[in-house]
Amino acid sequence: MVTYIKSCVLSGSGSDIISVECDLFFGLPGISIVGLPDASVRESKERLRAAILNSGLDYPVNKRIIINLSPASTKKEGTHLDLAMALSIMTCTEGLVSTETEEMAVIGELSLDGTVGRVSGILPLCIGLRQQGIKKAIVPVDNVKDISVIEGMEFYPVTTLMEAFRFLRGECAIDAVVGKRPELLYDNEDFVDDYSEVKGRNEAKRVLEIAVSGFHHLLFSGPPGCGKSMMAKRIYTILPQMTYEEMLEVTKLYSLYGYEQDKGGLIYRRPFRAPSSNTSIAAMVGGGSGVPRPGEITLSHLGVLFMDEMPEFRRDVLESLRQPLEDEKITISRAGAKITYPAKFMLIGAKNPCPCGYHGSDQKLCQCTPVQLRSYRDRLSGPILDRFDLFLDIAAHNNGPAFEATDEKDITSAEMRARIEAARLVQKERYKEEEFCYNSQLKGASLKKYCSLGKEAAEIFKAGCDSLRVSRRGGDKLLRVARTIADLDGFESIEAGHIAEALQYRRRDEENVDY
Amino acid sequence: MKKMWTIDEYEVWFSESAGNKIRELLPLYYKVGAKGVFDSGVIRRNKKNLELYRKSVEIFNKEELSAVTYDDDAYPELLKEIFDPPYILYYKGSLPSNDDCCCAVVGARKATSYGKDMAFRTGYALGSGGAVVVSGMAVGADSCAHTGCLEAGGRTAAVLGTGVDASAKVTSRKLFDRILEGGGCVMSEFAPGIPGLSHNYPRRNRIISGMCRAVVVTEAAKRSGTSITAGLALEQGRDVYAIPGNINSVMSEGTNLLIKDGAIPLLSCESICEELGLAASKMEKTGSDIGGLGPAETEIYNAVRKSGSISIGELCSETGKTHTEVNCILTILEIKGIVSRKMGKLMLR
Repeated sequence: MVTYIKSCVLSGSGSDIISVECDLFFGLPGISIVGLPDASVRESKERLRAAILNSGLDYPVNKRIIINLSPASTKKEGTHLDLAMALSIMTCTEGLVSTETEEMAVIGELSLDGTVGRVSGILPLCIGLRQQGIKKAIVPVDNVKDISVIEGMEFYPVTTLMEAFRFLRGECAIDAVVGKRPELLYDNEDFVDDYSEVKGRNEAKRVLEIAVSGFHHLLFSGPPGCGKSMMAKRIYTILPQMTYEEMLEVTKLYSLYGYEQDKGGLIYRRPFRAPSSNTSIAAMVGGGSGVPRPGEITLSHLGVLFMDEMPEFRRDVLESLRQPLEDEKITISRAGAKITYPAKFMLIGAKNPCPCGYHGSDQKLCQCTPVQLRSYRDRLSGPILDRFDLFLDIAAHNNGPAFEATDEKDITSAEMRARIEAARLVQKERYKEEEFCYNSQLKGASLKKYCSLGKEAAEIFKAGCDSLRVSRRGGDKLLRVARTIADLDGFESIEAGHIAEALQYRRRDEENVDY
Repeated sequence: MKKMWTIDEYEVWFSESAGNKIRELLPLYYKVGAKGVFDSGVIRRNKKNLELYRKSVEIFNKEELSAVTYDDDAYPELLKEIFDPPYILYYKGSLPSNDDCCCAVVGARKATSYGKDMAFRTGYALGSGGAVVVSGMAVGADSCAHTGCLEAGGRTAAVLGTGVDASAKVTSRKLFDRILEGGGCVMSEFAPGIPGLSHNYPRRNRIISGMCRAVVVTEAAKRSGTSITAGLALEQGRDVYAIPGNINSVMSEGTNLLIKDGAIPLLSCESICEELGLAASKMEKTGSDIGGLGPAETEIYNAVRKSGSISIGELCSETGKTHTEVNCILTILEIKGIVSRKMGKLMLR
């Protein structure tokens, strides 16, 4: 008699349901596991035999056991399949009455004495089950805390193989743990930093607000010490709250990366990643042997990727950003597997005007040669610069006490966040019928539909594009940014002032090139 | 005086090697010719170099360059007076005649936006006044001076530190063509094919100041190449004008020092025309467009004008407006071509 038990394996960004099939034959005694198991799965045959015998059950010692992991064409990894394989052998020999195995997945690692041990990385497995419509799972009791945040799932915690077996046969009942959305989702008190610590720089703060509201990519440029990094590092304090689904998604990706929350449970905050400039291409886009692991761009999915000193990054690393910036996902092809990870992130770049940082400054002499200047400027290629919607050149602070004493109140993170949340809400409402949700994703037809201009705004748009040499693509960016500015200011339509302000954040480097 | 003159490698060698001994060597040269000087062994010679100069002659003929020697009438009169004039000047385009009023505009390559702006305006004023602006076609101030002169419809001459042909390969191809189209010239004492070696530039600078009546220094750091040029100009007895700058600015230290040492300060870019006795004419842009500004725009315009170069933050506290309002007005001013924004700072165009 062939038996089937459901389980799942990791595959790229999610998990695949697999069916563990078992059958017994007369022949040379032994187990063969087929369906592309890797070493960790293949060596579980020793554990299976010991665990079943030590649980006081019959092990078919005189039979040939075939276990097939279906679909047989994908590679299977992980010791969490032990329990499913053991149960499939046992139901083969002992017979099973319950039919529940159809909607029930089994996850767990076995030890030789038949106890069910903790599995690492169980969260992405269970999130994957939920996404694929399986609502019940038998899981190790030690793992329950980690996964109880998954809403709509019923978990049956087990401590031993025997317990799981009896439960499947309906001989004993286990109290289901029902997954619940955690109550405390966002904790404002936690922030150590605040934007009020950045003195002045209200324009830069405004640009950050615009960027975060519309999910626009942003490039800062300015001399050392003008506060680029300081501002970018505080961006996590103004990121809007994640929805529950987004939290699950982010947590899943981090688990794949091997990051486990200390307390167990979900990641509440939007990711903020700041890779250093010597990051390799594999660390950036993902890679590694076996199943490629997610890289920085996937880890910043739904959050912010901050690249400080952007021109110092290796050229191939920079160019590898082109696909994810365009498609919001990254495909990694390796000999073993081809995997697509999500990578919808907001890119914030920061750069100096030249290698020494003081080009064009009257405070300090620039030490760079013209050749250095040119090569530094060329390090960010045109296609990469084209992906940015917002550009801001920041001037150095004027030194001296006379400039520090201003009455201007410094904007705080809380004020900024409030405006951003409001602007996001407007977008959510406007794009509820669409596939996208941010102004930065407007293009082609949707751009025309949502960014229509009144007479006055159209006039200034045309005048600006003509006399300030804004390209066609630049014009599209302008409209997207103006849309976000209008949303921030609470306007239904895009007014002339919004276009005028957006024009200040255009790409200017062509004008800045020396004669 | 030689009328018919065909260039050969010995002539090139003579011009390149004579250096500051030129005045001693000329009598010998007139007697025995360039080959004779070479054979006499008065100056150090090198067979290898001769090979190089043979190539220079080939390039000279192929590129259809022109040359003028110390003995020609077309050779700049003022340049003949200096201590060590080059024997041959290679050039493309048409040389300024001896009736033209030549004025050098020099400044730092790493000019600040202020320096670039000043170079442009000075070039513009001189160009509109009918003077020939002489500079070095380097990035920064030099290029701005040339461009300013061309914008005003004037003629301009670029003196290079490389062979005249080499400039065709470097960065400023566009400017090179524009200078020639504008009726100016690009010249060099270095034979075609000679690369831009660092010790060529100070030598080049003596020609810039040597062929001009006056030298305007827009911006210079202390102990910079520009300061050297100013020093050469003084040695040659030329008038040196310097544009004063912010005392906090490193790039104005050199010019302010020049003024302290006796250079004539230029209190406006146009005043150089007055000094040289030319008809002064202001840049049009600043004159005509200002009329059509609204009250808010005028306020911002005046604030920018007052400080010369100002950041957005300062502009906000100056005018009491929010950065959003200021940004909107700036866009209008940018569209009207009155204000420009560079490296986060605003200045008048």
